[in-house]
Order: sequence, then structure tokens, then C-alpha cells
Amino acid sequence: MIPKIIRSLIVISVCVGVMAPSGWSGNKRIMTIRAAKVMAERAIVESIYGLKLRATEEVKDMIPASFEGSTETKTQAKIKGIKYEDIVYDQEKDIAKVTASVTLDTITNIDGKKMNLKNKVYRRVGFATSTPEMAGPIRALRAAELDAYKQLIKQIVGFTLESQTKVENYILKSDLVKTKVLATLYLAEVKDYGWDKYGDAYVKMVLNVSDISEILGEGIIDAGQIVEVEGQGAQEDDFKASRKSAKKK
Amino acid sequence: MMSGRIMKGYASIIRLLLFAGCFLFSLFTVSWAGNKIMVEQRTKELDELNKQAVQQIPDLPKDGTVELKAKAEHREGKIQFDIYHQKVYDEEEKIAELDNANSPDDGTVKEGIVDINNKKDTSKEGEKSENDPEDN
Repeated sequence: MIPKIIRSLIVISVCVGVMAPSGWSGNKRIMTIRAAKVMAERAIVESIYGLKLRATEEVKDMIPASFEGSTETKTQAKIKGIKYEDIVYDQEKDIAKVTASVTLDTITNIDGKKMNLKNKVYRRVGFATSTPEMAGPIRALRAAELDAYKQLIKQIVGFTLESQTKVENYILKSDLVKTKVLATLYLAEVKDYGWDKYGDAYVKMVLNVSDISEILGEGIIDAGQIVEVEGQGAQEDDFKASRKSAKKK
Repeated sequence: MMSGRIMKGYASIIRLLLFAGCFLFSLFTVSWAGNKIMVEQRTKELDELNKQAVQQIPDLPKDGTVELKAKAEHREGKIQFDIYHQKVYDEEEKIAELDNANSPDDGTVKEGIVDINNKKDTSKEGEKSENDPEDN
């Protein structure tokens, strides 16, 4: 009934329809997974070798819209033997999750100190996406991670406080408060991470001071102390608009 | 016929309410994802931290300004401040200084006669005159 030519056209179009999605998928999947692997590798390096962190927080007249906080981290190390234990790719969201692990006997950390890791397995997770619209939760998670590092340093090393305060009728009114943090950190472990129902990310980090003392082979004051913190990160800056208008003024 | 129309009306109202509810929920969900609560909390923490540090300075003025630089460390579950720079400006002192500056002793000009031909200055007897050209 159906002419041969039409029949063959239908068959070709069905074949193209089936084949095309895989052909169109391109390198997005590979790129996303590769990026997640790099994120996991960085997390491993930050955990074992360590990182240098510089952070400032400033608030004027106690107005939240004037709050300015920035955190920068730096790390560079050569680590061999990182294994990818688990790779998950969500095609719908274009998000990849990679769990990486490494087992090392010894390593020289960011401060140039030799650490005896005794083949302990260090494990970290990395997330990535190639779609900018999906980057929000991943950015929030990284922000939470940096916040946790900063809190650990604040508790262990300390920080600098600078302020100008007005006193009126014996009542303190803070005019300008600034905190500064600059230190190196290593052997911080991630205990838990995730996102709450509002989309804000959290990272729970722990640092066992007695473990560090043993690994470094040095006696540390406060040995036996376990420092636990929870870093937070958001997807959006609620004060972006007010800051822009303030700058224009 | 009538009951059918009423039913349709109810259905459209319910649909409208559901739509409005979903819209508001999605709107709030988006706005909750921001950093407002975190920043407000951190601002409060910084204020309390600063107040703790400033209160360690003895003899704070009633009205004034305090400039402070300190190293803060966690010790025994508390934040300890090691203040290495402090400047306290007392507003009352400043006002007092300004009052002194306006006193008539400084910078006022006395009316009088200055005779440049006389060897001695009439204003200060027994002292060498500044206007003495012969240096006597």
C-alpha cells in the first residue's frame, strides 16, 4: 500500500531519531565528569597537603547590607595514586559526583613538615557541572567548604580584630569591625555535607589535634582536642542590589 | 443546570487558589536560597565580638571613640583578646581642649603705642628692646 520510497524514508527518520540524541550529546558528559574528578583531586590535596587561606570580614555600622566577606585559598602539590572510587553522572541536571581516595605513607605538607600518614585512606567528594544554570548548589557547597576551613583556622590559630567603636552614654556602638585570617591548614576531614530545604549548603569539618600531633611527631598544646565546625554557603547574594546602589551613590 | 454552574465556579476558584499557592511557594523558595540569614547572623556575631574586646579596655569614656587592634584566640572555650593597639578619644576632653584654645591669652593683639625711635621699649622697662638698632 505504502510506496517503497516513503517506507524507506520512515525507516531512515526512525533510525536518525534513535541515533541522534547520543550523537548530539557531545562532550558535555565527559567534561562534567572530568571537572568533578579535578574538584575531588583538589579536595584531597587540600585535606592532606593543606591549603593557605586568607579571609577578611568587614561590617560598617552593623548594617548587614554593608557586610563584605572574602575568602581566598591557594594550594599546589603533586600527589600520586589518587583513585576514583565512585563516579555518578546525572544527565538531566548535568551534574557529576566523584569520590576520590588516596593512601599515602608519608607526605611533606604545605608548611614543609614531613607527615607520617601510615597508609591511612583519605577520601573526598567533588561535584561539577558544565551547565551554568545548574552551578548554584555546587557554588554554595564550595562556599560552605571555604567557610568551614576558615572557621577551623579561626578556632585553632586565631584571627585579628580591628575596630572603631563609638561610645555614647557608656553604651558601645560598633562603627567598623574587621576580622582578618591568614594561615595554613592541613588534615581537615569532611564529616558531612549537603543542602538544606532552602538550597543553602553546609559542610561539617573536623580536625583532630592529637592525630596531627601523632602524624607530625610533635607535641602540640591542646592535644586531644577535637575541633568541629559547620560551614555555610548560599546560592544567591541577597544584598547584591543594595550594594550596587550604594556604590553608585 | 444551576448546580453545574456553581460547581464550575468553585472549581475555578480552587484552581486559582492552588495556582496562587504554588506561585507564592516557588517565589519564597527562591528567595530563601540567599545569604540574608547568614550575613545577619555574622554581622551580629562581629558586633558581639567587638563589644567583648572593647569592654576589656579600662576607663572607657562616657562619650568618645575607641580604636582597637587585637589578636583573638580560642582558649578554654572562650575567645581571649590580646590587644596590641588601642586609642581612646574622649569627646569631653576634646571639647575642653577647644575651650582652652579659644582663651584670650593666645593670639590677641593689645592696643598701644610703639615708638621705634626710643632706645627702650615702653612696654617692658629694664629689658633689652627688640627695636634697639645699636644693640645696647
